[in-house]
Amino acid sequence: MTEPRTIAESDLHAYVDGELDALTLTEIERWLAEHPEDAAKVHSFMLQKRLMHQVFDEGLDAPWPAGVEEMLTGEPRHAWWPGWTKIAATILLLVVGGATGWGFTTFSAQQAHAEKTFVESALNAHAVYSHDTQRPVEFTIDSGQEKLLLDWLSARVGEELMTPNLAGAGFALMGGRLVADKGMPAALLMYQDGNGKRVTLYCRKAFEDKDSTFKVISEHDMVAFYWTDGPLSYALTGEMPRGDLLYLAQMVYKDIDS
Amino acid sequence: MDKRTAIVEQMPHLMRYARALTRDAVAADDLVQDCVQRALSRLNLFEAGTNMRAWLFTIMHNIHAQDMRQLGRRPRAVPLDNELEERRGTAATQEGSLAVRDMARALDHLPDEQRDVVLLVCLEDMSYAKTAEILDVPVGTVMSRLARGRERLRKMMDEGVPALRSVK
Repeated sequence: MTEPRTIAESDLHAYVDGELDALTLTEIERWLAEHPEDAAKVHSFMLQKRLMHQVFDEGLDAPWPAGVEEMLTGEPRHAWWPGWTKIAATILLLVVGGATGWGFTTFSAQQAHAEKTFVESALNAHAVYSHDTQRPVEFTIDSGQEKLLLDWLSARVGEELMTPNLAGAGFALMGGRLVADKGMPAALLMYQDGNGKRVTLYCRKAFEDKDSTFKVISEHDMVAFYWTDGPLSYALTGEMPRGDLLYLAQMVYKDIDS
Repeated sequence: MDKRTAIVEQMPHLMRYARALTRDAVAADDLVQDCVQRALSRLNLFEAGTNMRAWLFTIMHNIHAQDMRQLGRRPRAVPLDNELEERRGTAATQEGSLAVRDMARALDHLPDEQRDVVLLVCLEDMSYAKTAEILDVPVGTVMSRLARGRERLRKMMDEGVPALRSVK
């Protein structure tokens, strides 16, 4: 077996940036295992990358400057849709309730992107936290801390939130937590019924600038109804028949609106 | 794929890169507008099958460099938008918001030529070769600026970032 060559500083950078061939990769990993100082360097360069993403990634979802969409598409509305929207539109999208003025005609590429981000974050948050047996919520409600929770979340989300009452459907508020939606703070409220079934209400500053009717999306076993009401967008997510969740979504909507 | 559609697909990256370059939401919007406008005006120069993101970044980088020369000021004269900074501070970040803030500030203290390379490689995942193309420098220069930039960042993150003039 040949003596492993000495790894140069530039190899460490190339390793961090994925610029190495497989052979050198193995060599470097062996080197790092034996050279903790270099391993620490590599670690810190990787950390730098992650931090830069945390600093700037919200730019990915920033609203496009005025006029750019028109420049690119020739008109404010157009046929370009991301794939997921097509699927959602053909298979999953329902207009429920007394839908008036369903705003699809002015659906733009950017709105589609903002909506996708919002819904994905809501589904992710539900998937991660509603099944957490240890600590599903950061703040629990048991000791009458509802106002504390609301104040805390409202301050972070930047809008006044409320906790809709779902007792009529057998669901009690467990508590809530703050989650990051691509760098934007969002509140996740969790409710549970007598059988341990959980639904989450996800809300953050609106991703669109006008109110919308309910829209629905399914992913795996999850169903989410989502809508925008004033300054906030909401998503109610649960694992239950669509009709049951719609009933809950209507309760939430009425409670918030009253 | 239609070239315009290809630009639309790159818009999120243009928005992020513009904000990273200017550190100012308003200036970033202007930069994106100028970049898209210039790209559209010379769309016939884009060769199908080549990297649209790298092509757009080249345009954006050149416009930004030109703007800076004309304004005769350093790019980092504008502090980070306070609202953004506050939101970032409250977001539940993996690494902790202090480290994120330190990184934002540390980048301000890098020499422009190092920051240009660091942003393209570390944030935008451009290869060394593409970065060299965008910045119009040899690959060896990209690698040495990257190494110096990263060492400098590491030092600042370890030893503390010099305070900026207007930090809230």
